[in-house]
Amino acid sequence: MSRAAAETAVSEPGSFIRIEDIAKSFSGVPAVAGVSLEIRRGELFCLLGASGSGKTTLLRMLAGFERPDRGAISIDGADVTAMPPYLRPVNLMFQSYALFPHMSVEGNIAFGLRQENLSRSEIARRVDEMLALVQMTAFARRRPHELSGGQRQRTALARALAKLPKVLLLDEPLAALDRKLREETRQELVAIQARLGITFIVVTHDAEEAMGMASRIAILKGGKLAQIGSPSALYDRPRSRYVADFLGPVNLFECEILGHEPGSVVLRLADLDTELRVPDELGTARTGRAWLAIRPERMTQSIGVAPVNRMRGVLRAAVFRGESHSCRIELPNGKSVLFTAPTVVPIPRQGESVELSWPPSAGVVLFE
Amino acid sequence: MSGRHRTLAIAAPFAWMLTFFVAPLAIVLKISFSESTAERPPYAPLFEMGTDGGIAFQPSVSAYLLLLSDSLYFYAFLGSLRIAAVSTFVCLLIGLPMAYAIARSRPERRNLLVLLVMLPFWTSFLIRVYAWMALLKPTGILNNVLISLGLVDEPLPLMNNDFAVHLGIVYSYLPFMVLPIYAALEKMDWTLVEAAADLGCRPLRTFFAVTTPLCWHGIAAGSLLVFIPAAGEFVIPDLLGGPDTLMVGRVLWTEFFINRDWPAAAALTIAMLSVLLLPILAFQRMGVDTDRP
Amino acid sequence: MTAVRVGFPRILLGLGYAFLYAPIALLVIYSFNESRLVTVWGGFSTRWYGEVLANERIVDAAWLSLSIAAMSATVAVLLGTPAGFALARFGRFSGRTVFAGLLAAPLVMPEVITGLSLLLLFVGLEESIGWPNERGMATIVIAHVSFTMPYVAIVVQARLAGFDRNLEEAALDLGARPLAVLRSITLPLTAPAIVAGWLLSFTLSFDDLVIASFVTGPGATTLPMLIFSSVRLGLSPQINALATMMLVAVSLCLVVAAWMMGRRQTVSS
Repeated sequence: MSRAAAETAVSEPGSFIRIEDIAKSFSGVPAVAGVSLEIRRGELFCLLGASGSGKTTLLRMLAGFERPDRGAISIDGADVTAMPPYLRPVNLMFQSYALFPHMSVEGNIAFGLRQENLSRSEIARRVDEMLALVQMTAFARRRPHELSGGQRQRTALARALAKLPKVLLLDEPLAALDRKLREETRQELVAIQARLGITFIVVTHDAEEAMGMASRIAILKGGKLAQIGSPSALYDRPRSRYVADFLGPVNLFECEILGHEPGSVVLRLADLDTELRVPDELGTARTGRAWLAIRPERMTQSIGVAPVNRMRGVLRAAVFRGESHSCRIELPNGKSVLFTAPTVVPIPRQGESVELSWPPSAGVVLFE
Repeated sequence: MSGRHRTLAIAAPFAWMLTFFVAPLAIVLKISFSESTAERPPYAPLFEMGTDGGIAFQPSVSAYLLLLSDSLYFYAFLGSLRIAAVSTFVCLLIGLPMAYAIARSRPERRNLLVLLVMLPFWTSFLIRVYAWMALLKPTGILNNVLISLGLVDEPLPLMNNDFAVHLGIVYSYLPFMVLPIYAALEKMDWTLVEAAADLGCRPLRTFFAVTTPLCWHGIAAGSLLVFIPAAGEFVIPDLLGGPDTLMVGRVLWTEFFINRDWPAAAALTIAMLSVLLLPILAFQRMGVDTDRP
Repeated sequence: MTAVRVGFPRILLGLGYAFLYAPIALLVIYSFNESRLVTVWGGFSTRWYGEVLANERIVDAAWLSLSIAAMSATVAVLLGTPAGFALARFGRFSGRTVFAGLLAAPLVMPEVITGLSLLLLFVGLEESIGWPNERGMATIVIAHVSFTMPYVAIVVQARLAGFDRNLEEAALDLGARPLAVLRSITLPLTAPAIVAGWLLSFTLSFDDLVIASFVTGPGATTLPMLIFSSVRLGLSPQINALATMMLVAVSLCLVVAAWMMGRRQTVSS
């Protein structure tokens, strides 16, 4: 890869992209309502959120298509808030790909390069490099309508990368692909990102996809930042019910915090009427109403010998998922609890009683 | 596109349409309230400089009184609406199955079939009407064939009557019915028809219960595209109609070019516009602005 | 799809096409009729074509009509293309409904109304500002632009609505300045619609009898006006020949246009 890419590959500490309290409303309806973010150089960063969370608006402000109502964006130390899209060191891969229908694959990739004062041979060289990078050399002269979905996606990627931008924005890059291709392409994107070292910002609504590729994820909700962190931190230590639920199935138990002991919280579950202890990570002295979140796969069947954290119910349904069974048990008060049992472990029959337990570290106390 | 370019892109066509479409209609309205005179131009000015320097406003409703006093005008309106309505209905009867057949034909053939519907529209309207004159005349091709086959003894009166006018309108305006209906049908989800069949609905019933309601927009647009211009048609009744074929477009022409009564022609125009206002507004609502956000 | 279900509409389709084309076909055939009696076959001849081409009044009128059509189509494209853009791309600007309504109304407005109202405007203008002091080619061009421009706007709007709005943003994102985006993306993609709009306007203008009859003045007789006055007096073999020549010319233009669009289509779809 060229020298420019090699340079960006050198990862520096500190923030490369700085988003400071930006907001944007459309005819009075706020789409982004005050978001601050710092993204590091060379990161593969995901903006994750449901539709209407403001992630696309945030992306369009980064690309320069929308001017924020307030706040500022800087990239590599330069304020770009008011800079038009054609001057920004940022390129966007559109969700629809937006390939120019009247140009070949080559022509599409060369388009951005032609806007700079590059020599013909330099353009040809860079186009060839990009075609090779996305394995489209054989299709260079095809028109977009003659390509398959995956080929279009790769062309769009090559076109956006051709100018070696400081930041590549990807709007739902995998959404238009079928399931099998999606997984392959996800791995390819990660590999290309690692190879070029360009900062990627991916917008997606798919939590699994985000967790599978991102170094860090920002979860947006209602135009605000809900939580930011590495995939495992968000998955294991969510700070709200919304984040816990958005990233995957979770059991939420309403509880009351009774008190604090050194290193742990004592709480009572409304559903079980028993006292439980979970590690006190937040170190807060808060008491009162809260929720205990436990992922289904952290629940295990325990046979009689009861540790502290356990509950008993009746198995109501079990769905075979290949490597595991997804099971639902019903507690005596009627509440459903999900747990995942590895296929190697035999599961009881429907209607039989099951005891579940979980390690203390599996429970997270949430206040919102 | 910058704000200034955008403003210009809207302002230029807007100004043109205001000047050459809206303003003329306002002038028609003004002149319809004027007196007919023998001068040139043959109408009395509506505003006149009074002796005291002020402007005197002298509206006259004599043109409208003329329209009301002579039943000829009433029958002309009635004739126009009747002929336009019947012709629109016949167009629909022919056009709907045609559009349906095109929409259900093989995709690679569809474009050719659509082109064949559009082609006559691109050729001269006057010539197409003229072609029917050659066919329908007492000494025309149809009568010659019928007589030489011995089917009739003397020429059938095919031309210079209401029948010929209907025929000419249906012939001339058929593409305007077929194309919008086809456009609506082309976007239709045909699995709905299969679903209806699967639920036990017979083809003809499916056509009326499922297909027709779903292309309602196309049917309405097509009907308005035929009805409104047909109601104001002049050339067809003039060339194919008989002396007793009363249509308002033709009366207006006569009033203007033969009788040179401009206020009467203007009043007729205003009356015509009022009658056609509802269908025109209906068309505006659905016509151009298909992209309404 | 069973044969029974398609059979009935398909027969109707065949009859529909026969209805559309039979009169035109007969007109063409009889244009090669030797006989002065238009509807009685008297042997093959091309003499009427020669007479049409030698008829100065017809040739002059044809030239006038062609010039008017070319001029009004060009102006209609210049005004209608931005209007189509405004409808397709500018979102909800204030006055959009009125704007769209103004562009839709002329499509269905009866010709006699358009013609009469424009004439009264021209007469009124002449009275008050002294222009146009003589009606003719200029007034016909203005009138034709007014009723053909909406067609251009619609064709352009439909084309723009048909492709991805992100295309222009993608070009901006790749470093193209607004003018370069217009030149390298927007115009090439809209070109087929602009060409189609021009052809449509040209045909509508060339074909118009009623509006031109109102707004013309002494000395400016268009081809449809000439044909109309001749046809009113009865059939004429010269008109058959002239009609055939016009049909052939229009068909040739359409074939060329369709071919160009077909090429564009493979380029752009």
